[in-house]
Amino acid sequence: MATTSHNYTRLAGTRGGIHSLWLAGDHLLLLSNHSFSEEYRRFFFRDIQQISVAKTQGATIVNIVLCALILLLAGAIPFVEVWQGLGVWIALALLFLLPNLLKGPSCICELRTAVQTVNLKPLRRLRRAQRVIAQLRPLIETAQGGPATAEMIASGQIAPQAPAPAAAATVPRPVRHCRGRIHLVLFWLCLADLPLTILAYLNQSGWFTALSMIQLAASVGFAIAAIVQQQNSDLPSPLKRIPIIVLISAGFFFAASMGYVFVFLVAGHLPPDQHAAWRGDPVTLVMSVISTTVNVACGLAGLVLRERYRSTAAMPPPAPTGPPGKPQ
Amino acid sequence: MKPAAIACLRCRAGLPQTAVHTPAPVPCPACGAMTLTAVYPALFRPPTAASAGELLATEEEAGCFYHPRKKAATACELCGRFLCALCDVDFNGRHLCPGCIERGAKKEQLPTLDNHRMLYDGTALALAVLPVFLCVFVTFITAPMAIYVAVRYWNAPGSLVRRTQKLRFVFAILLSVAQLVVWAAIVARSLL
Repeated sequence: MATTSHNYTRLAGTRGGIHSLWLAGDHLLLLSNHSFSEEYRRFFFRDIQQISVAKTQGATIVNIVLCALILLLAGAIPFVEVWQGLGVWIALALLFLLPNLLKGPSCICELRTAVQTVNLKPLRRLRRAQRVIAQLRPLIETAQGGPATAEMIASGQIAPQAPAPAAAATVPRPVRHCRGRIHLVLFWLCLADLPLTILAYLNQSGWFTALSMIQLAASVGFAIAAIVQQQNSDLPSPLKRIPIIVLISAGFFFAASMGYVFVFLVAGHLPPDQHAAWRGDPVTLVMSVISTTVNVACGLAGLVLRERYRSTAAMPPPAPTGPPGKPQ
Repeated sequence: MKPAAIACLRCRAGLPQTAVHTPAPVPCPACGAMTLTAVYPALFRPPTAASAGELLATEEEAGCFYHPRKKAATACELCGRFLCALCDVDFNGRHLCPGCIERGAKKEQLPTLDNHRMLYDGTALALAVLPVFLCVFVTFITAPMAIYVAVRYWNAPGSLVRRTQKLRFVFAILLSVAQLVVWAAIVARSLL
């Protein structure tokens, strides 16, 4: 019987997370969130053959790394003048460490049916996986007319799994041709960051700072427009990744700058003046250099990839061999 | 085809019966990984052979709509067409014909075939909120875009599991209008 919407109970996965597992009356729903779209896979209780869980070392490794980082940062505090910055990083590391400890060991979980074996990505913690299996067991056994008896398990007569199909039975989304003009503007904006940064360094005028802000705003706007335009287009994947990288790096360096200013305000000092920062403050200089390097690299890579894509798209199709009219 | 064994998830070696349906994870005899395995009767159910449908024995018998020479076994619950055993599709306990399933998928009338949805509410909200944090100077472009998306796709089906679609649209519209008001005030002030 078809299930109407809003009849689902969340079993695993966070709200807004990429993968989550939901429970309906007669099936499990595996949801994949791609930010602006969702994909669903349903597993009906009568079809579920086996659910397996295996413990992994991922969470343990993360705990060890975070503890080592905290100890390293704490040990460096006596040797640093502005210790508040290190304190912020230690607090961030603790913010990741404590929930990781509380959630317990990590695991992988697979669900098997007659035609597929699927990795249940939302079930990444052993305790959560155990709870979910315990919750599903009565539902699955009711749908299948009872539990698997000891005689069934002892007999070892397991139904063979059907081979995987050659091609997925999904309707392909229409792919449209994209000329990449918005991408072209974005890549040139990224390259413009280099001369603007150099001019702002050499000339302490506020105009160049304003130009840099306009360049940043325009880059972000064109990156968003490029990401929207390239959906379901025939642009190659490496070219599609560049606007995303530009957007993420702009957001990251903006957040880093704000965080750096916040650290100074918390410490009771005024943040370094933008114009004097280049010469006096190494942190802003390093951030600017890295940001400009990322932008220039994205711009250059984007231009090269776009030219390669255009030359490939402009090539005529190979001429058919043999005289016309004759069967090949 | 050789029957498969109940296998360990990490090393794919066969697990003994004592490793199945345990209350806590137990080590795999081959690789030592802590595993928890639950099996159900469907694992031991032999696959059912599909039927191609019986041929008509007499002229008086009802025939399949898609295969007139085959005997009708049931009727489609949506369109009422007679179906042979081959055309009869068991769809969540209902008997449907392939045509109705295809039409139901295209017109989104069969919810269990719905395996992809665009989240226009999330798109509108992102257009309204993200530029405020990333770069406020682009909001004079993204605010109208957010309003357009929210109005254009107001009645589009939203997430299967989330109930806050309209709320997100309303918030996106309000935030975008506020951004446009601020821009109008800035422009008016600079002109005066």
